[in-house]
Amino acid sequence: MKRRAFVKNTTLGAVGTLFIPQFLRSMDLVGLDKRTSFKKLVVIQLSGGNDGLNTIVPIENDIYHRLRPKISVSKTDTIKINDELGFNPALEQFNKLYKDGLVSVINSVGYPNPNRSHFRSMDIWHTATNSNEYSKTGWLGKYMDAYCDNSHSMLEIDSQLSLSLHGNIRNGLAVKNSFSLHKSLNDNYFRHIIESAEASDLHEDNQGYLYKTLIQTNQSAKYLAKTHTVKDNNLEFPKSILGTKLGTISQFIRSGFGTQVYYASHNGFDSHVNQRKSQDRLLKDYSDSVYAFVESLKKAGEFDDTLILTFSEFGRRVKENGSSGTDHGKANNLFIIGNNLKKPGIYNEAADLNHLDDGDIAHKIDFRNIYSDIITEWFGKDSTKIISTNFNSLEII
Amino acid sequence: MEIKKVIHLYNRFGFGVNAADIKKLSNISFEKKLEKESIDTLKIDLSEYDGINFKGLTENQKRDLRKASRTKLIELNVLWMKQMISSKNIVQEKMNLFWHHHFSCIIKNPVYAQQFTNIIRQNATGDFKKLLLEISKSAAMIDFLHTKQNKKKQPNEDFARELCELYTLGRDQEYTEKDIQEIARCFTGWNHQFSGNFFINKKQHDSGEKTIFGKTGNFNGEDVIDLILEKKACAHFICKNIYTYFVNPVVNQAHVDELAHVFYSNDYDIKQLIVYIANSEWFYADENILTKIKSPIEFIVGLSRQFKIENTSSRSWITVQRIFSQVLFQPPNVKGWKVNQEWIDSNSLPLRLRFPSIILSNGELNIDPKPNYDENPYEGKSQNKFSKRLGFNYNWAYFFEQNEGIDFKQLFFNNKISTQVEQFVENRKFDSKEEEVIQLISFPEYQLN
Repeated sequence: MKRRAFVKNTTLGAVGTLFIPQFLRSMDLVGLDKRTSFKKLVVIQLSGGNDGLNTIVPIENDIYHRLRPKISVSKTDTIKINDELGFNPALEQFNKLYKDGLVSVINSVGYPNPNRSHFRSMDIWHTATNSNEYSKTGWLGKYMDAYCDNSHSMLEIDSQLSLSLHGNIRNGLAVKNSFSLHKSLNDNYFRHIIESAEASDLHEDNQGYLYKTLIQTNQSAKYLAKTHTVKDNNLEFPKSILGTKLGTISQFIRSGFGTQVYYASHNGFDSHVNQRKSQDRLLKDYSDSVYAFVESLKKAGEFDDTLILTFSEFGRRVKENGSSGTDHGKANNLFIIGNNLKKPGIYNEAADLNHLDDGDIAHKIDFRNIYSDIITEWFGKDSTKIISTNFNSLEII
Repeated sequence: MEIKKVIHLYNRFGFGVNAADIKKLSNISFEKKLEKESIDTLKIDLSEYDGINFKGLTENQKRDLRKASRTKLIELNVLWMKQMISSKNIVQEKMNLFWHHHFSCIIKNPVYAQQFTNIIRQNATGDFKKLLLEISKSAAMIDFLHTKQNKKKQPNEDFARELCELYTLGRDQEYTEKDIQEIARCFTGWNHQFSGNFFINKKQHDSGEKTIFGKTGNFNGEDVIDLILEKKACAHFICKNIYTYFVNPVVNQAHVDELAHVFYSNDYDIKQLIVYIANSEWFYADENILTKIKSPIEFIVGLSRQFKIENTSSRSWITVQRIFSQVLFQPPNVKGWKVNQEWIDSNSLPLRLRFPSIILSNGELNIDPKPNYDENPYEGKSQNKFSKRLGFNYNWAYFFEQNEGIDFKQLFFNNKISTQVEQFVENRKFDSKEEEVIQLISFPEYQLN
């Protein structure tokens, strides 16, 4: 009998793991399921352009306070990081992770010839191309093409798939939960056509291709529904959209999914008007959700194998606009969360506000350098198939 | 013409037919049908753009203008959708869609978008040379491929490269890197005014001698287009694209050669080319029937024509286009929208199969596209926000009236249907005629034409 089944059957089942004797729990944690020993990446996308300056605040910087008379975060409000920087007060839980050495903050991340359009800049981040090149495939999609076999190797918790997860040969799968796809394919009608297609020889033509895709989709749907066994109430997660998404991902990981990349976006950062109110709320949601996520993985012994990348398509203009908000900017800070980071803390010096690029923070680190490190140092794979430029390691991961 | 041929012909050079259409169209030749069709341009009210001096605007005015532009572009997009769904001139409309696909161009300015689509509309079945030249001079293309930045002292090769690679010759076909550089010089100074009108900035134009395809002269942009069209490779490249779009995604070399010969020897006359296809016996061969995967627009427009589906809000069509990843005027990049099997994956297929039943049962679509960047996730029940807004009307009575007496398997699949599906239909009792129809168009085969 498998040990996991033993634990389930003989002890407490629905009551949970609380009362399981310590030795059984630790056995449950160490590789009961082979699939959990591989590296996983969780990408959290802050959509709309998060204002990095009000996230990690340069508390002592006069330029910051002068250019933002209405919306700057005062030193006394922030949670102190060091003499120069403080967290936005909404990031209380995030600060706990930071103090435990689980976070790297990388400043001034961007790319050459930046584009201030949401759509274009997001596409550039998704495709990892130069800013004047257009591509139909995303960096994670290309990774899938090279190194994965199933569409459930990469899951986005959403009803639509991001460009990031589009490959040439295969795409990731967008699902809101483990059952919706299965449910939608599980009525009489679909069951019949899938079963009869499975039983027949399909041709290489487009008709055959449609049926093959349907069969594959059904297999993925069944896989998700069957594999999703950990279904706790996720009480410790915020009840927000992001909290629900990360709760779902946590359950998938703890259920032993063979998925390597999970993708979730956190929307609403386009703060042109009354930024403090909207951004602080989003940041608190992010902070609470990520904290709950990390804690849930730690308890399950899964955190060591999980890396979390948080990015936004651009930062915002240093100078506030006339409506207590900020307009689209350029470079921004980016977070990497994980255990055993090489250089936890503030990775590089804070944004240089003395030398702005047309009113915006200029980029010092190319985001593709970080992607390339994730591919080589986290996944242990060759990044040249995915990122065209060759970068030296940043020694973060 | 026999029914099977009529259905196939107007599946490809149109968006599908109903029984009433078949009756009319089987009595006239394709050439006659083309003659009867008129050219419809798109026109929305753009008077607010008249006489604007863009450089003189304040930041706030520019922002307002950009906002207004987004709304106007949606208006133009929806007008185009309605045009495809309701027009009698189906060959024209299909050709318009094809040329937008061929001359892939991302357009944000509604004035330039209207200019661009009307250039295509006026030339879609006319002279390819004129079409190519006017597209090259259009404000949308000049902006998109940086012709504006192409100056005597600092040439920008973007347009020159795509002109050869994507619009006329095909990648690395009979041109060299040196040719691209020389061609770029010929287009230096090509520019447009804010109003969209084309002009050549003489100070930026390089009037020196250039050598292109081994020929030397003081060529300008128009000369380049002549030089390119002199090459049979150009006719060949266009015909290959036409073949994979209208005939079969798998190329039959002999047929493409045949088309290239016709196109080239008739001085790139588009009408004669498509009439030739429609009159070819091989076009109707079994291997070409129901072998193409519909693009989302073909799928949605075809369905809407059949059931008289109308949007109840201006956002409805935009949302559907976004969900299926084919937004008019917004191809993903210069290479254009996806084609054929690229449209189908585990995400899009279930949605496509479910779409007809969802739309035709209550006219509401319960799916969220990716949110706009300015939407607040905490406002309202954002999960349901879209489905509420996304309303459609549909007309079953119209469908049955127009399709009296026809076998639905012929209507939807031209009788090319897998045996297992055949059995399913035969063994099943349907509660209503509507249910039978919905079931039929939920088959994977309905994604083909």
